[in-house]
Amino acid sequence: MKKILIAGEGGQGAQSIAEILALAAHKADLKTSYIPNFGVEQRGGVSLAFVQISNDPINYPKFDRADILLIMCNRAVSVVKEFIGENTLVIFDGSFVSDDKLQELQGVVKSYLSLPAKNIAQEKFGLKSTNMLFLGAIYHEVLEIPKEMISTAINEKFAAYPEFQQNNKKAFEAGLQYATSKPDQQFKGRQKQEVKTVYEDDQKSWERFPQYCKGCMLCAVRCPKNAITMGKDLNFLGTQMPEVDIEKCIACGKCMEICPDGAIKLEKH
Amino acid sequence: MAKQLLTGNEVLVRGALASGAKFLSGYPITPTTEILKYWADEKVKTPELIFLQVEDEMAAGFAMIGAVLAGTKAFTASAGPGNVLMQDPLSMAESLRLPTVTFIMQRGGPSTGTVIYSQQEVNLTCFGGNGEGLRIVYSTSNIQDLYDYAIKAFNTAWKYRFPTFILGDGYQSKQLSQVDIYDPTAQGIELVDATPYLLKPHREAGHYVNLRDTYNLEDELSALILQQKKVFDEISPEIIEFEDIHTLDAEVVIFAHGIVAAVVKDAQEEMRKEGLKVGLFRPITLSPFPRESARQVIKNKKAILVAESSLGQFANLVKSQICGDTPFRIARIANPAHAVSKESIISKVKELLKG
Amino acid sequence: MENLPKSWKKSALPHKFCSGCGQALALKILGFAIDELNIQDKAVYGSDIGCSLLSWNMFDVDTVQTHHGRATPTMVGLKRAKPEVIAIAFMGDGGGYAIGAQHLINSCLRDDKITVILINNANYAMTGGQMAPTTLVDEKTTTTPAGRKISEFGRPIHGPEMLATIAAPGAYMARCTSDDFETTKNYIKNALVNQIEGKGFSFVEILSMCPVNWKTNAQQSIDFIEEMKKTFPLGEIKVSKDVV
Repeated sequence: MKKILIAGEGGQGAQSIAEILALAAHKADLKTSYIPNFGVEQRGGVSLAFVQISNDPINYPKFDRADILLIMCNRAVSVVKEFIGENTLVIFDGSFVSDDKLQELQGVVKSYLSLPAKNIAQEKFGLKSTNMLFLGAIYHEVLEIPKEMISTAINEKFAAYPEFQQNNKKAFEAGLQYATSKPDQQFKGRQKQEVKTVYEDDQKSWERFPQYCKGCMLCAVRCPKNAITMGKDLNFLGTQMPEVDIEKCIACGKCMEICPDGAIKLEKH
Repeated sequence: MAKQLLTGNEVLVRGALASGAKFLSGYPITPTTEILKYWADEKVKTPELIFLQVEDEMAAGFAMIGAVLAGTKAFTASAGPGNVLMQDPLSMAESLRLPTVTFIMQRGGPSTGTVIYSQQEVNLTCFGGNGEGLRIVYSTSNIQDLYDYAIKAFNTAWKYRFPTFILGDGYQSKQLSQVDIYDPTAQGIELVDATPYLLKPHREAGHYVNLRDTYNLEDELSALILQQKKVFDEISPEIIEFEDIHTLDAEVVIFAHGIVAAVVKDAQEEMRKEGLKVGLFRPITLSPFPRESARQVIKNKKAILVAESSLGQFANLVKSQICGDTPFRIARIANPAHAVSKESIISKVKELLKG
Repeated sequence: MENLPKSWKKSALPHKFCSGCGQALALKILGFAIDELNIQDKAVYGSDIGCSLLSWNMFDVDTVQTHHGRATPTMVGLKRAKPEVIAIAFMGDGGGYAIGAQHLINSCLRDDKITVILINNANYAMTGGQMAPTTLVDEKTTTTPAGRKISEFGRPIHGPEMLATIAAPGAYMARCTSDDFETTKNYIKNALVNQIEGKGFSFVEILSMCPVNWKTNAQQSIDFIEEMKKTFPLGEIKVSKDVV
């Protein structure tokens, strides 16, 4: 019996990982159960998935301690602490979960796998496939499921988006590889990063707020001069933030107007 | 002071006015419809009163909530299918512990049933909605009760901040009889002040109130409910009321509430004259229930008899409260939506005493 | 100009609305309207369920989150009890046009002096994208996987137009899009001033982006708003006539 708890932000794909695992287990003729547990928000807010895979009948969909616990974001840390036992393997995204948050689990976590999934995804597969890397790492602990079943499950889950199927399977393999070879293991999270927030010249300053920005890019769409593009830096949600070419910017303020999060501030000097 | 000849519905309105109530929102439904009428008439004389006949009972309940949030003593009245719809706003009142006052005058159910009478809204009034029954419910027995407990309901609501109810019935609504309409302050009853929840007059600058009744994960809600229950249990001794008539030497004790307790009193008088040892335990507050007193009263009795105009809503409540203390028989008179007659009480008690 | 309204509660940021959400944008504009009219300490904001409940602590304004469809009657009761309050009822297309339709209609009929702001994103967003009364013909949602068919579920509702037929002379009704900052702010201010001046019931419907359930990126979201305009005309559908 494997008890797997997956915790992420709404929108990070925690539930997708769970669905694929349960589907694959089912196809492998194992007993399985999956229950989502989250609050009201469509996005944002902690999203939990309880998955069980077993040879024996499963009576109850939740459990007290996880065998495998995946932590994908900061907000999940305090919520999942109670599920960590002596034998829990904690998998976390060392490139995204803040170190100060991670250290709240210092002493509680007995074994872990640090997988910089966001970094790897951003580099190789696209941020949307971050969760597939984690699927690979979890799968390393559930090898009783034949790999073809995972492959089939991924295909089924993304049947409506065939262009993503291959990419997701590659990301899954990369995650599995990483969990097998376990390079650079440290119980360390992301350090506070200094990110450029102000872009300015003599006439104006354009400021972005990583703690508010959600990466929707409405600002880029609305900019009459195409001065705004998607940058590399990540916001608090872990998605890419806009950046501005301050020379092209005419300080019209349309980006500031249309931002639903108040994450852009334009000031004329 | 001379008594006045009034109907139950009118008495409820007088009680609300005497309590300082300023706001009624409601929807016409038998048998409480006249409450709207009397209040509307009153408003003609006293224009500061607020009256809203709204589109349905949900609007009535939520408008009442809006008024309560503004710090205004507000009430509504309903019955039967209207009581069903009321559970939507009353759930919110429970969640936020709002001092709403609701007059429920029971009629036959389920569905449209009859417009006349029953005691079939005990479950709905005490435990309706999707909450845990943290409500205060007074079951009135006669027309004087309607006045006394209307005043008490507003005071209890605004003092303790739980949704408060008068649970009467269609007979009480329509009965025309004599009642003492006194000035509560002249009788030494202090009226509790209403205070606003929103736009408080002396709030600190920059301090705003954001109320909600939705929580994200299980823990938050669970903790809140346990905390509310703790408060409810702490205040219960101050609120619990009951009548205990001749139970001490009784062999059979009758449990009854509301207007059925009144007919039991008649039956009891007659039986006592015959020398039969019978007592009456009448909970006045169905919630919080006078559990400790009930448990004392049933000790060493031959039998208890629960009589009600329902299949068993009151009996279930009684049983849940005295469970563990009843090694003996619990007999029943269960007349859903139908009055309980004096004769049926007497013949049942005699049967129990025999054997 | 500021990036955030003064009347937004900064300590509650970042707010819980999705990335690119038109409702959050509308709420930001409402915040600026409240600032410019200086009613932060006089207003009460009542929200519905659905995504609007995420705004429960968004404002440094007294607020109450109510039940589905019931923001309107709660604000009506509050306004009747305390007429000096500026009562704002905020809801989505489900809360306004389905479960709360009778409250909207009757409040308009009574000419209650409240301001209703309704977010039209053509679906029930919080619960994952089901059909709403405003879902477009042929639009796919989770409960209309083959597209909304007129024969099955009728046509989308035109709320402000419907209310205008029963509105009193002093009522105000308008429709705009949340990506048009200036117009939306003007219409919201007009609606609030209509209440402040005691003229009548006021109502603004705001077409808003819902990228998560529409499955659109930023440009596609704006495009869908353009598509919605073909069904839902913009403008001030009813303005206040001088009330005697």
